[in-house]
Amino acid sequence: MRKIIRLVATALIFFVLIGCVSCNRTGSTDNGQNATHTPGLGPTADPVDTPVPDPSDGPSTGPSNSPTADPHNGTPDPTDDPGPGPTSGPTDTTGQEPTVVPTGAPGGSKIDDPSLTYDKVELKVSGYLNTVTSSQIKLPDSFKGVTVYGYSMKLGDRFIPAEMSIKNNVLYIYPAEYLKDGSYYSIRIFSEEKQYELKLRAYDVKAIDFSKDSLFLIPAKPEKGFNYPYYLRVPRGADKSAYKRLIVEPNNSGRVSDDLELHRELAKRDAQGACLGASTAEVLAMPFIMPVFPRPLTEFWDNYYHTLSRDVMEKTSGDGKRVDLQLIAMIKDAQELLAAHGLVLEKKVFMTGFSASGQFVNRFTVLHPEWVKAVFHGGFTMYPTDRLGGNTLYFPLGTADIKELTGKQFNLAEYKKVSQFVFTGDQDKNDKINETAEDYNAYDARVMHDLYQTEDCMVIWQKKEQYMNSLGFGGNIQFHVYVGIGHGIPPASLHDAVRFFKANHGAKITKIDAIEDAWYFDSNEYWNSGR
Amino acid sequence: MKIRTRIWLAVVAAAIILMTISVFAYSTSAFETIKANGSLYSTKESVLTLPATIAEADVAGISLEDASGSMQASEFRFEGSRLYIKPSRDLIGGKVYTIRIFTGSRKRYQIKATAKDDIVISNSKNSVIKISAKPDKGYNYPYYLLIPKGTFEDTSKKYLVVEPNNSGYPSDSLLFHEIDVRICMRDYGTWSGGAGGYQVATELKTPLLMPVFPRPTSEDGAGIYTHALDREAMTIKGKPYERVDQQLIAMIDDARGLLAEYGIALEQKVFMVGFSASGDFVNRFTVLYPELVKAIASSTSTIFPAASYEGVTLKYPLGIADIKNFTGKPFNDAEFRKVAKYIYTGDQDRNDGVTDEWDKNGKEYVAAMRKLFGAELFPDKWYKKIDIINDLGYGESYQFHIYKGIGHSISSGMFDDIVKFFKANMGSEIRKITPKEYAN
Repeated sequence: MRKIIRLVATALIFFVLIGCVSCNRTGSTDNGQNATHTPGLGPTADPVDTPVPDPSDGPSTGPSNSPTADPHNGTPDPTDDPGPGPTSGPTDTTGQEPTVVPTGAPGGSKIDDPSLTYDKVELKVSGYLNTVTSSQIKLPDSFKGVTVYGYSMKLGDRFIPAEMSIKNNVLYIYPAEYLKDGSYYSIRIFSEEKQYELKLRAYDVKAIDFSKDSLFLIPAKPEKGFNYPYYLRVPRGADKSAYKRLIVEPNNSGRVSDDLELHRELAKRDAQGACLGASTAEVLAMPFIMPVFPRPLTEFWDNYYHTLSRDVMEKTSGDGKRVDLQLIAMIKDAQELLAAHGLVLEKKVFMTGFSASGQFVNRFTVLHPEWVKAVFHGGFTMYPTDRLGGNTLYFPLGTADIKELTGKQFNLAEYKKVSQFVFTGDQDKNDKINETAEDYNAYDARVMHDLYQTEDCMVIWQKKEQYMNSLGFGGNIQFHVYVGIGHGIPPASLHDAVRFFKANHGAKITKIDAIEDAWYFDSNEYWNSGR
Repeated sequence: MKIRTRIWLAVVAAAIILMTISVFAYSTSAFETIKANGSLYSTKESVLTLPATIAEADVAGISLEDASGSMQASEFRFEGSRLYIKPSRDLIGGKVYTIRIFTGSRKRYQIKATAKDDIVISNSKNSVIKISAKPDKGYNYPYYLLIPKGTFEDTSKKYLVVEPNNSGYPSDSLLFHEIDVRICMRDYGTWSGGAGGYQVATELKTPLLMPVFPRPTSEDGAGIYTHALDREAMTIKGKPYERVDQQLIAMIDDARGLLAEYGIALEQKVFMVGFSASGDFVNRFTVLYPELVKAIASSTSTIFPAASYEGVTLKYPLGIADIKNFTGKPFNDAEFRKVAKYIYTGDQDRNDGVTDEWDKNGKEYVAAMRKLFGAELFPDKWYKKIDIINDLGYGESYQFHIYKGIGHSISSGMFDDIVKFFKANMGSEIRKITPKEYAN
């Protein structure tokens, strides 16, 4: 019987203790557990241990679910997350133990009731925030056991949408929007009697591990000249590659949506390797960027950003103004960023593209040849000349009015230094020479009819080559037809892109012995062709 | 022994009471509950009017939490006494959320609000409605409803049109898949997309339902093919996208109830349309639940209403040998025969490969496909499928058709035929149509 009483007494103490811990308001009892969360909702309401079903499969309901969840991409994506692992804590610890620094004066000057005074405490921590992915911040030991009533994140006066929780004294932060590189965010943690505050700086890229493949999404930086994000892919070993240039491929969603998310997701897929440029970058261990330019549904023919159309070039206001210059700003940003991490690149880039993005590359090369070392694309439609066959060629057929459009003269000397490889498929019927809503007006269509005198795409292609030869650019540009394919990227072009860029990395313009069979592809040969 | 049990029970009861009291004491002291005017919407920005006692200047922090205490990312913005709340992800309609407002002192406020879906149905234009996920009701993802202009005036029978979403790529961004659904619903304006659900719904003046199912990425690049309802998708466990077939049924039930409240009475069975992956979904769903389906239109069909054929065991998703494992009941032959099925393809479509390798249906499936079809491709494989259906005695409920001049895509002429097929199959008997010879 005594035994039973003792048992009961122990049990009672045990339960009372649980009750106390669950209503611990002061944090004075360090129970060695996680900081409990959400008073008022019961002692079991720990978001970490009892995650609710995640209906949207989006950012996690608790860090234990998806420690590296990308709030924009949903489930964890290790290649997108340059941050520290979930259990390792911040990687840039400076060595000293984090401390709690009371900043003195109780807040709320209007409050007279002394029982309502509230201590504001600055928590000194050594972590940082990632602009695009989640972050984990190790809190000082003195914070252990504090019962948290809520969190808030601010930049200046603005509340930043984010989800936060604490597990094992580590603060997990999942911002629901991109943070700004270089900005300091204040995170407040509210307990019964204290308002804790952390000031953390956000980084696009804190560190690059060149021993593995990395993919970064760099958010828009209007102050640096780009209003849209871009993807930066750094293949494994890029620091040791013999080819120190950026490969740039403009995004080409092939779909129309007012929501940039669609274009971002498709650009991500491409940057991961599903396009000519990213694949080449992987083989040659060269860094790669792809912008996330929009292709809105609203008035879609006037907003065909992915081809760098005339309507797009004529925009004088809004985020979409002069995306050609925005791409240059992204190139500079990526070059600076990589240089800051020890990878210094040549100024001029390699560019790739197909169809709409091929046209973008084609037009960009004429507008900004000083940025381009070599191009490999399937979208040759623009001539580097004001006049051809007695016709004046206006943008995007030629250069007659590019000074009015861009404020810049055509730079013939630099254009002549660009190595170009342009291709088509022998069954490709996509090269329209009629008036199109997106690219050519009735005048342009008349000019094209006059130049080509045919609807046969193969004959048009031959004439394009002849015109380029007659204009004196034959030495700079290689025209190639892949046999056996329509409007698609020939697998053989993957081989040729690698060989072409290898051959044209230096000052000399070199043509290659291109593969004829569109479907030729040797996986082994391809992945080893970077050496 | 008995005494001990009783004492233990008393102890447990005492502990529970103690904890309840402490929790109660807690919630009253920590936060002052205040009333705010306005609605908290599950899928869009909301505005609440706060009592004048709360001034923006005093707000040191603000957060939104669900009933389990998990923080929900949200934008907050004050305009005078109005608080704008824009959750970064959908809330769950019908669930209570707490908005916590922290000041520079121990004065803290909370607002309890039940999230609600934003449902506005217009009779003068097409209405597109988003219904938030409701795990309690059996669906972990949102769904969209299109209620075509004129639905209320139209007095003919109404079958809910169901088109499973098929965004074409694996992506871990649910928004990516949602955008595709909105494109199919023409929510962005006039543009292509979809398998005909939009055309059928707007022509027949009947609502269209599209789920927003994810298609998560996977290491092999193919993703989890929920959009095709393949074997992997049907057998995956412990994920929010487990058993999307059952989730779709829950959505259909939910939509039926919801539309009834607005005076739109729907027939018990649904029309289903699908193309490519979503065509597979529709075919497979129909075999699993023929009692729910009135008629289907789908590109291709590679599931047979038999447990074996020519000595080959036909397991899901090739046949019905083991569907009881998924549905808990045997194949419903009588109901399956009542489903009108329009199966079409283009004469240049090369998407139906040797073993449907895009699906992850397991080695057994691939082996069975090889036995049945060898290395046959279109058109041999197509005709062999028709032969099997006829041989099994189900030819009556199927209409097969090949369109000339088109590959793996769908033209407006084909949409016209699909509409025609459903119009013809509103009644009890199965009727075939005279389709166009050429796609364009």
